[in-house]
Amino acid sequence: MNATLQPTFVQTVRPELADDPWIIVAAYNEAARLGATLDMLCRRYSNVVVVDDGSTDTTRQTALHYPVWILRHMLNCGQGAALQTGISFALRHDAKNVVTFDADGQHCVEDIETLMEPLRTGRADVVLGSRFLGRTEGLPLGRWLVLKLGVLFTRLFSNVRVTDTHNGLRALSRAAAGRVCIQQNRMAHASEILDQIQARGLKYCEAPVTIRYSHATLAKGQSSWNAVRIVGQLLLGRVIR
Amino acid sequence: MNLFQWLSLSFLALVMLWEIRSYRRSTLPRGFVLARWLVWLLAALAISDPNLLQYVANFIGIGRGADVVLYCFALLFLVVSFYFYSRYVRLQRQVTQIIRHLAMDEAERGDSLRP
Repeated sequence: MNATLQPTFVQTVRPELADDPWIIVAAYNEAARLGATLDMLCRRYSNVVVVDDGSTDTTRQTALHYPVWILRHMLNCGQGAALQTGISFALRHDAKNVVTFDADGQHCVEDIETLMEPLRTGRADVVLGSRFLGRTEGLPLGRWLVLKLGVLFTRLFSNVRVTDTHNGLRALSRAAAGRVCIQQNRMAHASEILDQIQARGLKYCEAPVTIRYSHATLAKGQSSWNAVRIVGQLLLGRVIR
Repeated sequence: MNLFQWLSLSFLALVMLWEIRSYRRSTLPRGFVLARWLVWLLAALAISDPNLLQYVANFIGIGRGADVVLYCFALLFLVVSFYFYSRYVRLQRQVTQIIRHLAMDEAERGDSLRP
């Protein structure tokens, strides 16, 4: 491992933060970027769960260097499935709050506290990160357009008024995490979560977050054309129960 | 009867005989096997007497007998596609649940490789 990534971890001290969130990181072939993400997370949070979604690279071995829980899907199921696995695991371990966090370093650890604040005060059951309330770095125009269309689609079909629909940074209270059940294995899970928030009457709000795009994350991330597939999966998922 | 009728009816007769023979050993629902046998029977009737299909076409307001077959297949294709997609999604969910169960039961604690 790179010597510069040797972290000073918080470990399990900080008993004053008993309501520390459980951070769920779904990772698929993220060996190159996962180390830096876990390095940041483990400095501040003691309950981090990495769900290795059937990676064929050294994602699992990278995670083993950090004081985190590592769950391994023996087959690649998709990000939605990996997040649900992490959430179920956290709930099994009496997590009071759950935060979903991308493995590729797009998110800022500092934003987690911004998300947690409405949960701690009881103002919301679910807090959704919004890059359009916050900041983006290196967001391509094409991706911006697709995200805006996603917002419009969500308003029309889910009747949820949000400014950002496919942001992987979100926080859920224990009660909300227990009521949301992700069945969309792949990328349509983000819209499915919004659907379920609406259907189950959960209190939600948005919080500003920063998303940093890089060449690497854009190259590995989903193509803008995947939006069409996501819409298809979501509509079929509504019909098939 | 023309050559096509001879060949296709012979083939359908063999298929129906095979269905009867394997009826007792079949693990499929009886209704499903009978429905399949009925499809072969209807196909045999339509081939042996094309006027029968034309009569049906006229009765339901479609011009040609061949169009009845075409429309039926188009509708059947949609139904079958939807059915199999539903089965696929349900199977995928079941597989995911198994994988999730195993992943949670075999959770590892990291830090073991930390120097």
